[in-house]
Amino acid sequence: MMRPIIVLASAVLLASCHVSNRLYNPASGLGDTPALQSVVALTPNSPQPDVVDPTCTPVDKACLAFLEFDDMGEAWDRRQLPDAIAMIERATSLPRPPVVVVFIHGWKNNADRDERHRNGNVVGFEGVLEYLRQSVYPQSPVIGIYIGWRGDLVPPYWPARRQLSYFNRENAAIRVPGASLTNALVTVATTAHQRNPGSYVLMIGHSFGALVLERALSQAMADYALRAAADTSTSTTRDGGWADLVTYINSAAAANEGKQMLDLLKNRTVFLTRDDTGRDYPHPLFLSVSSLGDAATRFALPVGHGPSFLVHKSTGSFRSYAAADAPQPPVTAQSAYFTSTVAHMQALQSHTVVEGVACAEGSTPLSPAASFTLPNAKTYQLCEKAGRWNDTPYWAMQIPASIVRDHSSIFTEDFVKLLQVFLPATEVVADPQRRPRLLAAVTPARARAASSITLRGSHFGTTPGSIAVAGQQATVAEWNDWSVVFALPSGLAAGQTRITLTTSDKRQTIFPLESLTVEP
Amino acid sequence: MTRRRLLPLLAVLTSLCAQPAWGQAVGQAFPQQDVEPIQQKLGRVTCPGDPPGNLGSLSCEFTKTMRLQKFFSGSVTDQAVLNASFFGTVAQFRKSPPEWERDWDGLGRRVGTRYGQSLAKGLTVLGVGLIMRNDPRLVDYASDPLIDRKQRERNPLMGRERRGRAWTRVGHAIVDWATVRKSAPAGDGGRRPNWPLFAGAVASGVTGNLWYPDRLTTRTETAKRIGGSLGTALFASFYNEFHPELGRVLGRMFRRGATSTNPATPASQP
Repeated sequence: MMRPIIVLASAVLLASCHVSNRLYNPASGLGDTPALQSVVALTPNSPQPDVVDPTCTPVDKACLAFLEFDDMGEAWDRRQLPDAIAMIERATSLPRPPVVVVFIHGWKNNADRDERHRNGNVVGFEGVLEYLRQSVYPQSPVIGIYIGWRGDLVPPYWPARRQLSYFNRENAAIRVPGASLTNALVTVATTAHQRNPGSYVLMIGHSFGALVLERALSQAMADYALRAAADTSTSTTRDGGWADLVTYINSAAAANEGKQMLDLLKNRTVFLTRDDTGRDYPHPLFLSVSSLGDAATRFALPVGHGPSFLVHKSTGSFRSYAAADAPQPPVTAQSAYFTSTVAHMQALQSHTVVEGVACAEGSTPLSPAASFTLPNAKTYQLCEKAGRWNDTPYWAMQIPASIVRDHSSIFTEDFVKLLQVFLPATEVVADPQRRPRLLAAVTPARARAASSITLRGSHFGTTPGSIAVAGQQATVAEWNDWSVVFALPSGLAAGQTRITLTTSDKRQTIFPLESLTVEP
Repeated sequence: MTRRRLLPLLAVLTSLCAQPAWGQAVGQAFPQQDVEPIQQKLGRVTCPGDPPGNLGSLSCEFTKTMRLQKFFSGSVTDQAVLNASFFGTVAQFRKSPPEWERDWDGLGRRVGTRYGQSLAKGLTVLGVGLIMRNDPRLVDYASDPLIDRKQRERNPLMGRERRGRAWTRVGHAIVDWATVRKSAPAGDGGRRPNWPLFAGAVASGVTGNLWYPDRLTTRTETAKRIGGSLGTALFASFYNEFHPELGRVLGRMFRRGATSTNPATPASQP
């Protein structure tokens, strides 16, 4: 009689022990714990690293807002978003444009900032924000948005069951990015850009947080890009809801997730234009970096995906890409993408990071060279893989373990130094006219001489500048801040050609070669 | 008799190996940059074992919550049950001890004894650790704050580059097993003998006597169990010291990433 009771009691004990599905930081005016509210000011030099400050303005301090989502992907507290938006509006009303950093945590983390059991990712993200404010952008307002979800299901007192929550939490990471989260992310980016065009919006997802971010943004991105390309008249999308840089660090998303975005970008629906700051290489729009020391996504992820892989395989869910598929995929077995990540999959990698100044065989240094030096005096070089399949603005690369040691050690000075390679310099952020260009589109993509060509993008200026196609000046028909219409000059050689847009204040935007093909 | 001679020899060799770890590192060259550590400016600390330039730690103290968590996770809950079940099942197959039958009762004894030993060990480590206020987290040679303390004070960037020769690290692994740091906000509490570990091993070995057959409750057999417990801890210390190398070897063995099955598309030219 005793045995079944013990078994039943043990089962109940095991099943009921979990981290509660709860809101940690209610919006201001809610809840009975005034020390835990959704907008805080960072106080790095005091014993308490942050204090509740519903009206935090990022002057001489960084501000942080929490947006939390429940296990079904709904916003826990619908007043958190207005609070965060109000914080962004305060930041954008300052003389210098703000740097807005959005972070989504991964597995085994949450948005708990109660000092008795403060989550490590909250502490780490606050540290990174302060680092950016003090060391990278000392003259710009720096604000953060911490996106919380129920990444932590089983308390650390149950280590074995906690590890097994991987599958459950992966499902949650697939479930959470719904309309609520996408709305929040797009609203954050739109508000920042529309209130101050110079605002720089950086979104970072770590581990399963990268899966959440990628899923939340992909469809919004596709919609935004297609509408930006088709929009002929209004300004609704010119400073639209898109981040300037989306970074996936040690992403635990299968490469299938990223491949669809790579296909979209590879098909040249949209482009990211060159900037005019002297750097000739395009900035990435997406950046997926994974450490070689990250055993979790290099080795454990393929094992973790094993059971699903077998099920998909046995039910015929994977296919082989046909030769006629466009773009022609680098690996024809769809199943191969399921057991790796974009950054770890060599066939999808676009760049490499090497220690020293010389690129490895099969890759070439970016021009001008993009290198960085860590505080330990080690220098690293960013190299472009020769003959890479992935020549899109979705950059993917592995990084040495000496930069990011393992899966979780991302809140470090070294990682921020790496990130700085992709972030604009201080003076660029300070000047809305000099910030990197967002998406741009050229329509039609194929045209004959004298055809009317439309360029769409942002920050073209309201005073007409000039357009050159393969060095020949074109006749401009219309010019506004987000759209330029011109006639294709005659006498151009057939084939891909280069469009150079020069604004009235002599800033140049060079469109990628593939953006326009001249037909004979 | 042979063992009696071997043990002092082993102790001397151990202390020789450990010597560089106790004292000054030999032949190390560190970058001498005069850079203010950003962590101090931001109120952050790099705890032993943290990555260099860590921005995610406010204190290195080993708190009571952490201590309780370590106790429960290691000695009470699922991991302890799984460990006891695994090793109990192995013992069942080996019919060890032979006095216990290979039936459900025998399995219960084997698993239960191991769980009881683990619980006794955990409780002892918890109790002695609370009294000593130690920090039982293992630390490797490269990030041990107690090595080259003076040099480190002059150059806070040290530790990023410290490698250590193999024997130095072997010595350090032994030292980190035999001694334990005191819990401190900066993670630099002094070392003292690892009494919680030793007491825990003894508690584990002795507790087994409550259930094992009389043949296995002699001093020699108890000492063997204590030795086994200490050996496991020593192995853990070695793993902590050398796991980066192990990771690299595994990385080479299981190098991932499908290479292209299609001819590469030429990169776009600007």
